Amino acid sequence: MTGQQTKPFGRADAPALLVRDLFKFHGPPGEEVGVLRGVSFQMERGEFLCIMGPSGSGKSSLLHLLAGLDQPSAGHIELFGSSLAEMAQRERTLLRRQAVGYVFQFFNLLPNLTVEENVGLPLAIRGQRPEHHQERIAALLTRFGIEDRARALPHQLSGGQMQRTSIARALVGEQPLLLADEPTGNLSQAHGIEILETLRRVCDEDGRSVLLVTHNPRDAAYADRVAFLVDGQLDPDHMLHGPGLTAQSVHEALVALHI
Amino acid sequence: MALAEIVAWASLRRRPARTLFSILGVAVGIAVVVSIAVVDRTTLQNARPDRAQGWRADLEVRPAPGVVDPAAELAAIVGVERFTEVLQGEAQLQGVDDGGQPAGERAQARLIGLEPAAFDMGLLRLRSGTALGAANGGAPEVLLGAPLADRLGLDSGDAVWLAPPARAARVDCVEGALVQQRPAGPGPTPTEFRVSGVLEAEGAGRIASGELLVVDVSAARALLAGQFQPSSFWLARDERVAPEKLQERLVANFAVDLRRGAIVGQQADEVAFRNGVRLAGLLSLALGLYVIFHTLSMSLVERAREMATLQALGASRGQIARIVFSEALVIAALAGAVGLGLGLLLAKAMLEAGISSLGLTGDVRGQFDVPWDEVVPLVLAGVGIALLGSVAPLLRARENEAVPLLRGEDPGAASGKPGRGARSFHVATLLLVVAALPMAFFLALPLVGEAERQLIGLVLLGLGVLALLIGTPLLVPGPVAVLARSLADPLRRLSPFSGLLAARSISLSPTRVAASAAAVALVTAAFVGLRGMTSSLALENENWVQEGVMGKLWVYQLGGVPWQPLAQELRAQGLVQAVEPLDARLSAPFRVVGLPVAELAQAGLLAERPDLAARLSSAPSLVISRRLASQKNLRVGDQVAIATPSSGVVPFEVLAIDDRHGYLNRPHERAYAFAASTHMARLFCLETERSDTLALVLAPGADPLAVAEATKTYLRERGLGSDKTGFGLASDIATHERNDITRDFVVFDVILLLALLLAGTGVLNGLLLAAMERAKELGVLRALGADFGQIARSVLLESAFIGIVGGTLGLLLGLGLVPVVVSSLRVLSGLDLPQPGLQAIYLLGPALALGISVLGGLYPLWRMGRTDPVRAVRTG
Ligand SMILES: Nc1ncnc2c1ncn2[C@@H]1O[C@H](COP(=O)(O)OP(=O)(O)OP(=O)(O)O)[C@@H](O)[C@H]1O
Ligand SMILES: [Mg+2]
Repeated sequence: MTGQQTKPFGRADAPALLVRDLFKFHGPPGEEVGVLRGVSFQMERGEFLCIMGPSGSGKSSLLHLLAGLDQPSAGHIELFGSSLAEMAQRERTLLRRQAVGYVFQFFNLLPNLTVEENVGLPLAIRGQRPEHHQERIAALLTRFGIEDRARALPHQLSGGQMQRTSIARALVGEQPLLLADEPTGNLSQAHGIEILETLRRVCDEDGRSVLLVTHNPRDAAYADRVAFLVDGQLDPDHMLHGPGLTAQSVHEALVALHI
Repeated sequence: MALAEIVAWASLRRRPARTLFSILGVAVGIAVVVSIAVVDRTTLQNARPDRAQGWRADLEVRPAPGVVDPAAELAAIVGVERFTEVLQGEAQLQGVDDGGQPAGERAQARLIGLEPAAFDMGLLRLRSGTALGAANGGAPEVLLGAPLADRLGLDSGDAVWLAPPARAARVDCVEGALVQQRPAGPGPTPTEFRVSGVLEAEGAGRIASGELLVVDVSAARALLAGQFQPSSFWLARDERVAPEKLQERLVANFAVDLRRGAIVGQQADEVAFRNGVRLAGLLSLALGLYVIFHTLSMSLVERAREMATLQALGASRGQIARIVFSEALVIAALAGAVGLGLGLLLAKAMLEAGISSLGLTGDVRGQFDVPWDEVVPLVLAGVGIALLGSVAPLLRARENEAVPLLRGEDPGAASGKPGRGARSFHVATLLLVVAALPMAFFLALPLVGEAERQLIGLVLLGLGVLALLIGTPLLVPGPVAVLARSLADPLRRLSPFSGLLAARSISLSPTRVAASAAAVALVTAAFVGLRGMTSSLALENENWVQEGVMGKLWVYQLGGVPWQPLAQELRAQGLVQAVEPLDARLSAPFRVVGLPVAELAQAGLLAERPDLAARLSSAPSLVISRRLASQKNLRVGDQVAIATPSSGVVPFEVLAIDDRHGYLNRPHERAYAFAASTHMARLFCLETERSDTLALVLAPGADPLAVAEATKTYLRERGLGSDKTGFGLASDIATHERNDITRDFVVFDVILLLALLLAGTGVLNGLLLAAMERAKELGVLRALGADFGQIARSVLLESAFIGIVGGTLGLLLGLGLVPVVVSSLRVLSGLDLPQPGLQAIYLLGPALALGISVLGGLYPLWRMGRTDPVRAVRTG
């Protein structure tokens, strides 16, 4: 959030994300259930994409695959021009560290670390010293209204405070791609709006790409484009974008798709 | 701070209980081994004060008659590292002035001829000058004892004249008479020698108080020509060969004089005891490291989600490994330091209490020798294995296993069904415990003496049992789960809700439960094994007490009274059957008492077997005790060569093995033999008519106190005996010997206690981690209305389950272990140990196991009681 990214990440001409014919089966061999059955899409740099879908449709599974945490059963994923399948585990780890900020659906804060230590974690993982970036961390905490909880441990936080800590942690590293899995699920209206405006600014001012998963049409309206994950596929016919994209139109689409 | 420090430090600081108990587990394990090493070293340094002055070679032997080339024979015997021929006699010494004429004081000194090998054996230390060189044309060389050189003002480089003494004054025993030996041949002619050096007053340099001349053996032979020369050899023993074994091999061709004082802790029974202590140490170490390993690895399973989160945030495996490693390093290093301190304190306390690695002895009180060369590697090994234990679980963490954890799945559920990774991890644990560990241990603390080879099979067998014990429940958690399931119903009937909870907890983490139960089983097995061993020793002791002690009365410090009239008098009163005068005795190669055959024929062995009486009288022969027979591996019909002052080496035939005659309690020695007193008088010129010490073989039904009274009266009436005259009651001696075993084995009990503590820590750690893992579940249950008592009952049921399973397994294992322990002890000690039957005391083992397990459950319980249900429910 400290100005424009000077140098584009990865291959300059490549999109932020390229996904082709992605399949993912869960369950023991012989009883696999196909969660993702041929997902394809592309996401440009600086784009704000929202993915919506019924509960259990595979949204979280998709994000895990995109972050290189999980292996697809079939299909192709490219992050900033690098194909995940062709990378060794260590390279995937490095790519994730440099390129991906992740807001987990279940927060996953480290229980023994304070709020500010949790937020500083991605910097420490990169080998930077969080105490040298105290201002950046403090600014994020202030923006999300948890500056007075900086020294609290996760179990001393409310659900919404945990969620905001988790979002601050995803933003602190200023990675070019942000994957946010239901970041507003536990938040009040006001805090939810603050988060969404932050995400919008990240795209507009820093040119970073944001992939948001949500159930909330109001949140979806902040995106450049909204896609719907139904029956294991992203339906290109029901993609919403441009001026027609409002909370109302998203709501209507959800109803139409029986979501 | 860098990543590793942030995360590791936070987890250490914010989980003080886990940190503390991990450190404690490792530290106690290390402390046990450190204390054993210190106690053993201190024992060896101090148990016998004469060790420091043990100047002689390990053994002195004299060739038996008919051995043509003793040097070649010795060279061929395994266990003889080096040897030198020794010629001893007297010589005269005088300085030489510049004109080549004798000048100054003339002195007579002990002349010793040695081979150059004597210098390699470390028998001689030079204060100045050089060792004896080869006499290359010039004058032969001589080394002088320090007092002699100082008195005569001689030093290296001086020329001296040596000559045989004008008269070799020497008294010897020839056919029962003391005879002056005079040299034959021409008068002494002096030879010129050059002083090559002066000996330090230590080692062999102390012989004859330093009034000593050392020359090459050939020069000595020339000088001593015509003198009485007993040719003998000094041997340096190969450290790995037990002295008893070496003696056995030597005995065919040599008469052996075993220098007992010079080799503390090397006697067979001492070796057995020390090895026992070491094996007990190995057991505690294995147990300690097993506990450490599991504590640390379980605590990592608990933190699997944290690790998965770090991975998802882009931390590499190397970074995660560094986090875990720094954390483990802090724990292990602190534990190493605490363990070292604790171990030294423990050793100090044990030594203060007189507990040594040779049993209870006052000799070690106030002593403290730390063998840093053993202690440091041991501590490092403990620290190293603790590190390994904490890092190993990481090796199996795979990236795609992270996703379920990130989705909020319970890590406990994942550990309930160990996959291939978990299994190989347990195999690694197993290999570590049963293979790498003993190897490391024995490298640092090798077993004493030659035992290694004989013991190896038994140790392997024991380890196999251990492996089976630890391995089975770990590799196949199924049985534990099945057991838990079959117990679920009875448990539920006992307490519907708590029983259900306990059964669920056990069947969900069978590995953790099995690991705790295995630790408990190990201690129980050790307890049973140890009790079996002491029972066997007690039984063996009892057998001997019945034969060699009961029905006798000892009389000490009579002041040399004629014993025959006393025997007649007491026999006439119907109090005594026979009398054993115990003073006509030798102490090399073992204790041999000369006993009057006619007297012994009144009762006991010789009364039963008149043929023995006849043979004992007719030729030099022995009846030996069972302990002696098994220690020296002697059988009826064997010949024992005994060196005599003037008749050379005389073979004594072993006629029988029997404990009944010849035991002397001051000093106590169960390896003894007797020969006919007539032969002892003839060969060694020993006094056989008067005696200072007697053993009275009481008439059946005679009251020992009455016999003592009668003896006192007899002595008083004749003005014999002294106010020092005392009596030894068989019952007192028996009690003393019985207590000795119990007392000596206190050291094992102490080690066992520590092992028990360790196992308790293991159970505690396991339950504590389980409690933390299930904090949320328990919190939810309490939120749903379960009261603390119900949860407490479930934890106690679980710990009781661990105690019962571990105790039962341990009892069975221990019962299997007893024969192994007893037979290994039999091999090690040369004792004729019987296999003890089932002992009631064995049941104390499982009882202790149950107790320690339930105790181990108390702290986790208390922790749970303090857990705030709200906090538990809120923790994400
Ligand atoms: N490890 C797994 N084994 C078996 N099934 C799984 C596994 N992980 C996910 N699933 C299944 O895959 C489907 C998709 O799960 P996913 O978490 O991706 O859904 P989602 O779209 O994120 O739902 P929600 O909106 O409720 O978060 C679900 O039906 C889930 O049960
Ligand atoms: Mg989801």
